[in-house]
Amino acid sequence: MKLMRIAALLSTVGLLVLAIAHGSTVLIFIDPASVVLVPVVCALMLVATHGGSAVRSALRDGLAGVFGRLDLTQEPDRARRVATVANSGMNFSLIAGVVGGLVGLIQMFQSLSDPSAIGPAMAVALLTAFYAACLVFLLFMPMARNAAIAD
Amino acid sequence: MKLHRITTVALAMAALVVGITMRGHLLIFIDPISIGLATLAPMLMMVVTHGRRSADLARAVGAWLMGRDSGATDPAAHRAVAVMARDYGQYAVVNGCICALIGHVMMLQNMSDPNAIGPALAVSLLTIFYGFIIQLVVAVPVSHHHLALAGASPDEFAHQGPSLRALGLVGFNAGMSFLMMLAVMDPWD
Repeated sequence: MKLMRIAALLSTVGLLVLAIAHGSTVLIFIDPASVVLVPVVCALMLVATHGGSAVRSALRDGLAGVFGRLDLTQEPDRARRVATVANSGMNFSLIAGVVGGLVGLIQMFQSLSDPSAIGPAMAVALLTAFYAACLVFLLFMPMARNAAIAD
Repeated sequence: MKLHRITTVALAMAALVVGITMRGHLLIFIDPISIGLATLAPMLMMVVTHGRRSADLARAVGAWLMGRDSGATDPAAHRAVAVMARDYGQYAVVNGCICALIGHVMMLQNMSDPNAIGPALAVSLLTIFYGFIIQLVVAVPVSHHHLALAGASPDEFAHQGPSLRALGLVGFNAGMSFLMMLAVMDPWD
């Protein structure tokens, strides 16, 4: 286990949570609809593109390469697969984030009659982009870059 | 458990529908004219760009969905399909932006009824939404599938989605519609 890397990731998440908790409650950043629209759709499209077993093993190898004992420099084939799936995941989460933002925007425009509802609706529209960025920042980008150096 | 590809794609569509209906009606996302524009125009532009070869893409999409062999045998053929799939997705998004601009301009000509502005803005943005759905569910997966079959390097997979130019157009459209909403609503009155 690479304890320093795990500590660094936990500190990053901690910093983000601190930034959120500093201004509001963490609860407003948890939205089931956005979870369905970004991580779930992204995972399903990854499975549809590369096949379930390939995605599972790539995620396992990727996490093991970043945090665990696996040395991807010794396994060029697995490193390639990790980088491929992670790059795919970056694309899918980015597009899903934009789709979710558009969904929120369209729903907000459809219910303009209540001005006080616009703020919260807009915030929820931005949450999908937030989830997409977090997926890329905390999961796919470390996996892809780590594997790219190994390849 | 092995899921067939078409089942997985259907599940992803179902997840989109669930995510949408958790917050509002599904019906506001269905507009026949926008659907026709958003699907037909990119296909026509594919014919303009790639001519008869765009039939290969249609075949490849069907083969990918049903898990069949696409008929492409060597890496070069797979790469050609991947490039066409990427182009299709990028055309879909840019076409969505153009249609949204048309919708915005039409709406600006017709500002007499403030209550109609919100729905008109929503319908304008629908074409961008359809463009991204096409890219998410058809174009990028098919492109990545064939890049993988061609044995492409992992870096190539990163460049099959929307280009930065297209994302800039989308941002411009969303920002403009937001400004129009503010101009009509005057929420700080």
